[in-house]
Amino acid sequence: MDKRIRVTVCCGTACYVLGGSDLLDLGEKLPADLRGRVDVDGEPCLGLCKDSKAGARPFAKVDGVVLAGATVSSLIDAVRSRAEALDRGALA
Amino acid sequence: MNANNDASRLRRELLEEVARAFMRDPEESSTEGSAKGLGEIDRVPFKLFPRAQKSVRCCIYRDRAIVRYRLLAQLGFAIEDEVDESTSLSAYAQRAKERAASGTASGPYLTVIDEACNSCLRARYMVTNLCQACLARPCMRNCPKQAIAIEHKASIDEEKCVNCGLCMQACPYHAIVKLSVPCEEACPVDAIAKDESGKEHIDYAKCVHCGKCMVECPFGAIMEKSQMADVLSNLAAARKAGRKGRAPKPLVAIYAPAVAAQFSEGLPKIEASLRALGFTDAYEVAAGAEITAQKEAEELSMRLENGSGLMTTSCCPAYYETVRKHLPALASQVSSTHSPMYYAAELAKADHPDALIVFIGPCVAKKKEARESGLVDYVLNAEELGAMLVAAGIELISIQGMAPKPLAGKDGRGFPSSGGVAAAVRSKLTSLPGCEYGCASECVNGLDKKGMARLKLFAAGKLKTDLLEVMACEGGCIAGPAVLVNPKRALAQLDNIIKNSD
Repeated sequence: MDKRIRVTVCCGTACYVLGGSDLLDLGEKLPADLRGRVDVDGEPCLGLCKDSKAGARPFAKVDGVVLAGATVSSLIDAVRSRAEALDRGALA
Repeated sequence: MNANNDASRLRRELLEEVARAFMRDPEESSTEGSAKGLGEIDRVPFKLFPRAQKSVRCCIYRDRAIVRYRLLAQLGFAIEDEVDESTSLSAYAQRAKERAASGTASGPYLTVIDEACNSCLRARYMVTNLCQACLARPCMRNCPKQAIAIEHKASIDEEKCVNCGLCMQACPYHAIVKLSVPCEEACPVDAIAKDESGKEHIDYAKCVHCGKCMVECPFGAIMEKSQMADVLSNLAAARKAGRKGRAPKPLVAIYAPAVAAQFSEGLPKIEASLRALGFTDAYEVAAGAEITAQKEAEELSMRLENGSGLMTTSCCPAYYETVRKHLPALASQVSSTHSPMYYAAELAKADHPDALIVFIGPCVAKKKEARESGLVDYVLNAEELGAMLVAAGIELISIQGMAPKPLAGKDGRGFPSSGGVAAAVRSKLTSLPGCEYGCASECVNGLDKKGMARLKLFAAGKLKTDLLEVMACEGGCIAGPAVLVNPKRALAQLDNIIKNSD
């Protein structure tokens, strides 16, 4: 059984206004092979926007790893890398 | 275009900077160049495009120059009116503040940044190098105007070409492409066109302020002349008066259901966040929509009785302008009922006669309607509201909600999605005496070229119905030109709001 991947989208007002709303709909936009193993949740402000070193808004996390300036496509890429890393780990 | 793209994102980031500068404006009037407050605006082009950053256009200097013009529009100035290029942004911000105190914000409501305009190649069909000059020559044979000649490669005689696109469809090598000019293609009334140098200009005698050019321009060259600085200045003045114990001039927000649908947190959180921004009170425009639907139902029942033909809705100001400027034959069929904004403003004015009324919607054309109504002082759009919330650090999720006034129900809140107005009017109609059987209704869902053609059929009497709902934006106001989220999400969030209605 594939390990599930948890995507956390920051739902703070700043992230939401700067495009985070699209990230919440990631579930519908995932390619078929990733669909079904990803849980997408929104969370109240993750506080990253207050950290000037964290990068651009909107923020999301893939299994706890922060992705700054997230777009649907960069988030899909991050989910894919994570899935590949998990699969390699499962084989090893 | 997707509501979230790099152009809309830049626009929102800049609005946030403008909002922040006005919110941080020191109590006493800020002098040009002061570090805090309005003086901060001068730094924005450098903050967004610092020297080391990769440029979006040819160089960061051009990027900065265009950001300066974007900020001008967001401070409420038309780019076309600029007389002195060396005037600083903070000086413009100061002028915006003075304008706010004198209470004027006038049209036109869109402005074109000629520096940002890409001067797209003129719209036409073009043969590319993929052309194989084949034996079959389907492009030539399918062209109804004999506009194609082949010598080594096909070429199109522009004098003869009527832009039907049949050659492009016929070519098996996909060698013929359509060059499009997105703003011109989006405009339903041919109000935007190139000058000799290829830059686009809006003809305001034709423009209906639908905002489609602004949404579709991939370079973000068309911008709204914002009234946010005016609202923020007045909010600051009200706060200042309050602090000094003088009676402040209150600001009251009336917010469209399409704007409420931009957020997932529901009406109570929006009500509370408007108060947190400094508005004295807030009204749902959906409350006005209940009145519009009731009055339109009454008007329709009279028309049905008199047999005076189809009645169209009147709440979409871009549609109403389209009739006024381009389809005068339809004028007598437009309902004489006012829009939800109008009635909501009346409700607000009745409770707060001295207040400045601020409409918050997803729409450009409402700015013109607001000005003509004499009831609404300023118009904000959903992006501006979003930017103000971010600048003020208001978290919708954690704010303590407060219930909206019990004035609106499902019918009124359903107005901003396509079919919603017709449904509300029909719902009110069936409870009128003698109208139990309701009426026939149709929708023109979006004034694109197809929608315009359909509307003309109704105007000519070739298509018939009792009630015709017309919305300039496909999908309704939730898909307006100045929104934060994509229509699908907005519709789901609107459905949630409606579900929680009585």
